[in-house]
Amino acid sequence: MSSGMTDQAQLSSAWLRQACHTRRKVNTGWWLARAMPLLVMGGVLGFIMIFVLRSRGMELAWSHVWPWVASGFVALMLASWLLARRQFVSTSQAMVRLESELQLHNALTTAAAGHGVWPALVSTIDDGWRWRWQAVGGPFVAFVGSLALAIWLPVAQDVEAKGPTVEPQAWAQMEDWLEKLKEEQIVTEEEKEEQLAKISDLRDQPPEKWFSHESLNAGDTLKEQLQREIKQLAQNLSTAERSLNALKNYADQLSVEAKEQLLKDFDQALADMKSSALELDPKLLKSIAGIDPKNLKSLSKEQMKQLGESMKKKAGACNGMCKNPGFLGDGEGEDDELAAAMGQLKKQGQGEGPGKGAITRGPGTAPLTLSDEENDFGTNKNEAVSNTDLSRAQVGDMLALQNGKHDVDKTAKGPQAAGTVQNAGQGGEQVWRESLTPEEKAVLKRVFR
Amino acid sequence: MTDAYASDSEIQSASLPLDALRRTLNEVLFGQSELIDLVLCGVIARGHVLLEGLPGLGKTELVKGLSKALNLTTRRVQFTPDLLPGDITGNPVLQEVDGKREFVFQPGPVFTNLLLADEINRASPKTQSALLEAMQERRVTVLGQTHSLPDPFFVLATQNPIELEGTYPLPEAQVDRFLFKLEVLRNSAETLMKIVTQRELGVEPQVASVVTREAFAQIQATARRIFLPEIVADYIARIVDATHPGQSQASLGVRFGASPRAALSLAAASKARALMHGRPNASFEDVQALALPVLNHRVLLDYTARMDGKTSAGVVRAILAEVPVQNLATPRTLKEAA
Repeated sequence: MSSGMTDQAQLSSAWLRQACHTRRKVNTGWWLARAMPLLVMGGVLGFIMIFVLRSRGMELAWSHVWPWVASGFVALMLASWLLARRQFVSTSQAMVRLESELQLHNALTTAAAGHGVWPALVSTIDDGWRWRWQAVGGPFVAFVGSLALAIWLPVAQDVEAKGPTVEPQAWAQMEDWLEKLKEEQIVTEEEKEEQLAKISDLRDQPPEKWFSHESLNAGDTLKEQLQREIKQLAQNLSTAERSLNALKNYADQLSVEAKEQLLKDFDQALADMKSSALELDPKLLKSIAGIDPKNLKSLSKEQMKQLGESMKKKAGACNGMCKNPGFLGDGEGEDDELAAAMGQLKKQGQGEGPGKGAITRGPGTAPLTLSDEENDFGTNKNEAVSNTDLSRAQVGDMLALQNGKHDVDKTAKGPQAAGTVQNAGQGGEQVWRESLTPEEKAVLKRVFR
Repeated sequence: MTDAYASDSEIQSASLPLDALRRTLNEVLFGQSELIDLVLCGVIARGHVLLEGLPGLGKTELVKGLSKALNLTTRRVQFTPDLLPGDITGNPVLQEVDGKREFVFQPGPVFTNLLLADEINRASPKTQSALLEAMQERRVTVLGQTHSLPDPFFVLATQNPIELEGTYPLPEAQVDRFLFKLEVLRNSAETLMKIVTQRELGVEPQVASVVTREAFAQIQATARRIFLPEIVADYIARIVDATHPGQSQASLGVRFGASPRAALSLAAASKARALMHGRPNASFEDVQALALPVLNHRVLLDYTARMDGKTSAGVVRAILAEVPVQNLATPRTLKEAA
């Protein structure tokens, strides 16, 4: 009796061990099944991360990477275990699987419930499940392989993004002009520095913004302002020099009014130079302001000559700058000339009414009309659309407006009974009196075949 | 104190008379061992059995042999269109009792242990329905008086699938009261030779009583106490549920599925089969073996499915193939062994 009980206890523990083995196998299967997609995704993400880091110049070796890879792997497996946990089977479920596969007629479940004896162990216990090694191994290989590939694959490192190598041309031009103004002792050092500081402000922007709309606009405004000042200065110097020269050399031949006009011009030029936005060199201003145009005879010939040449040189320098390419007014007048020429052409051939022959002959541009005649849609309200201004026609412009009505059959019809014969047919024709579904028709055809 | 479940000794003691019963019936009806097992299973589960087959295949002989082997009283009623309900249940007869004339109930043929209802589909629906109460409630009510039927009480009805003119197909409610609907198949040439050599026309085989009425009652009681594991009950429930339209792929074309009574019948029959095989518990295999005779007549197909050549038996087989014994999904990393 006790021997039998011992046998039963041994059988019980043996079958339970076997059921636990099956349970572990199934639950591991679920775990791996949930881990596979995560591993593939993790491999792809890891590949991208490592590749990006390497392309940014970070030196990565296996010794640096493997702790992260191991951590990621553990995290993925943990997440998949949590996901798979809902589908895990119990030992009793695994036992049912075993007894079902081994044709034990639910003897294990019955014995576990205490209502029967444990069956004898069979020589080969098979739970009927096999591993799909390809399905299991593939994602693991993909995970490790993608990470190894990301480390091994040669990668071209990104060059640090650099701004444009060329700066806006206006800045260099302004610097040249300022340098020249300083060399000619026309402006003070402070004025030069002040103007250069403005250019530096523009240059201090991030290089990628040098050619932005705002930056170019500011540079152009600054350049234009400087140009106006230089041009004004050149004119004033020329005026002053010319007035002095005339008063000195032709005073006897000039009328009183002419002399006064020249004196007025000189004073005006001097006043303009003093009030210039550019801070002029004090020596220049002093030498010009120290001249009394009414008493030029007090000046020696040598002094006059030196003063005149100095002013002429400075005016020449300013005028020279004004003739540089890109200076204000460079090419000015061309548009006017072109416009004048176009106006002349228009007078000759184009305009209202027919032309006078040659290549401009004819009645002029035909109006843009959809059709020669208006379409009659029977709505008694239609309108043709024309666009005589060819140069302003745009794609997507509205071309026509039309009021219309749908063609609706308004013939009055009374109520119709359902199920009536739709086709009465003619002699000898087959007429279906009932509507049948396709399935019913198929059945009928099969039956009466 | 009686244990809630059948003990090994009870199962062992039931196996001997059952084997004897099986051997005896196999001597009565040659080559129909499977049919005999199912009929025995039905009566152990206290169910009624409907036998369907061509005339002369031994349906009546089987029933008579069973009654003799079980030592039970048996009555045979040949159902005809003019049979009245009272001819089955019994009639009140005016008799003089103690100088007074009063109605005295004369029990009909239904008051027996084993009622053989031959060609049951030839009786009118009214007469067929008279059997309803008797089959389900095991009692008869006549003129407001209820009369209990003897215990045990079984109806073994037969019907043949030919000569259907003038017959009345059994209504679904009555068919549902039969535990099994069994098809009696024709015999093989070897079996026929055995019948020819060992039987004489018009001479009934001698059948000895091998099981007493009390022993048989004990066997029935033991069958009821066979352990039905929860997973097997779950399997039965899922199979019966799958017979309903939309509950499984196999139920396409089914008009009405099996009733809860079908689930109870399948469970009871599974227990009886387990006892017949000397097991203390019903199993998946029992359910699979009995699903067809239990569900075949309870699954009703629609017109289109019948026209397409579908049968209830085919649907039940498809359901068995579709519904897994255990509602357990398999991970993708594991595959079923071939």
